[in-house]
Amino acid sequence: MNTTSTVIKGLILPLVIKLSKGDVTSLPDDFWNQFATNFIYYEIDAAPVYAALYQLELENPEDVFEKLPQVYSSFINELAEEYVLGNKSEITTKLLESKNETFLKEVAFLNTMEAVITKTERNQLRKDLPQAYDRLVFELDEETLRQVAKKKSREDLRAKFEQWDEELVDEEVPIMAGVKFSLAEDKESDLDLNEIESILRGEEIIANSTKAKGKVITLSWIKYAAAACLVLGLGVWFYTNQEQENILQNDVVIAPAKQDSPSDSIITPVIPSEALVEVVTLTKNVSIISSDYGIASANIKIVENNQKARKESIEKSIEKYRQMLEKEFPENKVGDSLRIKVLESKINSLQNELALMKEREKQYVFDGKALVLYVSAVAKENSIMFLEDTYYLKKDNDYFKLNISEQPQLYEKVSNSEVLNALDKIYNGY
Amino acid sequence: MAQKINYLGLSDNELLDRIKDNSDYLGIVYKRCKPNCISFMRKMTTGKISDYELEDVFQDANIILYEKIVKGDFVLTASFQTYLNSVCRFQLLNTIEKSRLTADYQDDSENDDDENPNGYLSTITDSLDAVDHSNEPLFLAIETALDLMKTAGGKCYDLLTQFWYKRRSMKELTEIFEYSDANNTKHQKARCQERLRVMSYNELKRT
Repeated sequence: MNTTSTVIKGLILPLVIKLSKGDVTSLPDDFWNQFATNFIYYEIDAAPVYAALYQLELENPEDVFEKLPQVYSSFINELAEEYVLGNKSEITTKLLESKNETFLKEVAFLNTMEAVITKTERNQLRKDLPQAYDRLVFELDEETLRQVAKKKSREDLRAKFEQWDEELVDEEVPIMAGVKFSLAEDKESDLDLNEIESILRGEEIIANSTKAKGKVITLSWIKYAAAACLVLGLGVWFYTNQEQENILQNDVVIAPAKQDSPSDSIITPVIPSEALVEVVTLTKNVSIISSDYGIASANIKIVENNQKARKESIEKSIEKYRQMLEKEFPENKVGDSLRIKVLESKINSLQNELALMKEREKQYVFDGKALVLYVSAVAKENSIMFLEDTYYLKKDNDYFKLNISEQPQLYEKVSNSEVLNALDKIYNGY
Repeated sequence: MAQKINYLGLSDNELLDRIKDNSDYLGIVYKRCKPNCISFMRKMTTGKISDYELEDVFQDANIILYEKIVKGDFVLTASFQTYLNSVCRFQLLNTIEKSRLTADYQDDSENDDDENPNGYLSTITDSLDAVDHSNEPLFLAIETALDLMKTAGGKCYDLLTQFWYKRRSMKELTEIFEYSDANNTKHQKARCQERLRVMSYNELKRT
C-alpha cells in the first residue's frame, strides 16, 4: 500500500468502522488505492466516492458523507506535507497537474514554513557550534553539586524567614519578648508576689489578645509555639515558687520596680528584607589550546560567576528602600528616626556590595589550574591558550594575559600585534 | 559509577550515529576538523580571503554535513575531514567570487593522495540551499509568528523544529516529548502547525 492509500485509510476507516455491517478493516489495498484516486477529485465529482462508500453497506452512509469535506481537507493537507517532505507520488503529481488550489496553497505554506524553520535552526546551529564540544564534555563535579544544594537550601530558608517576617508585620501585635524582658529585670529586683501576679496577668492578657487577633501562620509554628509556652510556663512556675519563698523571708520593704514605658524600650523596627538573587556560577573544564595544533591534555577549570541578576536585584532593592524612605520620612512618627536609620543602613550595605561586585569584574583569579571570573555578561566563548610559557584567556574576540597568583589580578588585554597573530594562529590551528 | 566517554577518541562512524540524536556531537567534528580545514582553505586562497570569511565557510560546511546526517542522506565514504575539506573547496569555488581566489590557483582535486582519495574532492558538490526569502510577506509573517511561538514557551516550537528540521519520526517525537503514542504526537503536531498558521495569517493581515 502506498503512502497516499495509507493516509486515506487512516482518515476514512475510523468513520466507517462502526457503521459497517461487514469487516472494513480487511479491505484490500486496491480498494484504498482506488478510493484515494477518486477522492482527489471529490470537489469536482463526488459520485465515485459515494459509490465506494455504498459498497461498504454502511448503516447510515449520510453520516459519513457529511464529514467528507473535512476529511478531504485533511487528506489534501497530509498529501501536501508528504510532498514537501520529499515523498512525491502519482497522486501528488495529479494534484499538481490539475492545479488543485487547496493543495497548492498548503504546499506553499509548508514550503515557506520549512524554509523559516531551517533558517532559524541554521542560525542557532551557527551560534551553538563553537561551544558544542564544551557543552558535551561539561560535567558537574560532586563538590559543585553539593554547594548548589546547600545554597538552594539556604535560599529556601531565607525565603521562609522573610515570609514569616511579613506575616508578623501584617499582624501588628506586641511581641511577647516584652514580657520576657520584664520578667528578667524583675527577677533581679526582688518583686513582691502581687507584682509578679500582675505581670503574669499582663502576659495572659497579651497572650489572649494575640490569640484573639492572631491567625494561623503555618502548622509548623504550632509545635514550636506549644514547646515555647511549655518552657515559659515551667520557667514562670519555677520562678514564682522560688520567689514566693524569698519574699516571705524578706523583711525589707521594696520599692516598686520602675515600669518602662513602651516608648522607652528599644525595639528594632521590622523592615521587610528584599529578596536578592544569588550570583549564578557556571563551572566548566576547558582544554588548553597550545601551539601543538591540537588540544592539550591538561584542563583548566573556568568558574564564571554571573553577577548580572544579583546586581539588578540589589539596584532594585536600593530603589525600593529609597522609595520607602521618601514615603515615610515626611510622616516622621515617634520611633521613625530609628526606622530611617535602619533603612539607610540597609541602603549603604547594598551600595557597598554593589561597588564590590563592580570592582570584582575588573579582576580575575588564576592559580594555574582554575580561573575564576566575575562577569555581568557571559562570554559566548572562553578559551585558555598557552604560548611561550604564558597563559592567555580568549574571551570572545579579545585576548587577556593571565598571571598565576592566589590574589585577584587586573585584566591585561593583549595589544601586541605579534602576540595577537601568534595567538590567532594557535586558536585557528594554522 | 558511569564510565566516562572519551569524546575525542570517538571514530567517525560512532560520531555519525550520535550526531543524529544530539547535535552537540557535531562539536567534536567541528573542533577536530577546523584547524586542518582552515589551513586547507588558506592554502587555496593564499590570504585573499579573510579568516573571518573562511570560518563562515567552515561553519556552513558543518551545517551541510549535519543536515545530510539528519535527513539520512550521508554515507561515510571518506573521513569527516576529507568531506568537510571538499565541501569548503566547493563553497570557495562557487559561492565566493572566483576573482578573489588567487589567479594561479591550481585545481589539483583530480589528483589522488591521502587527503583526496579517488579524487574525492572533486566529487563533492554539496551546498546550502537558499532558504532566506525575507522579501516575501508570507515568509516574514511565519518568521514573526514562529519567533512569538518560541518566546511564548511550550512544546510547539520544539515539536515543529524537531519534525521539520531534524526530521524526527513520530515515534522519536513521542519518546522525546513523552506523548502517549504516535497518533497523539501527530495530533499535537497538527495543532501546533495550525496555531502557527493562524498566527502567521494574523501577522500577514496586521502588516
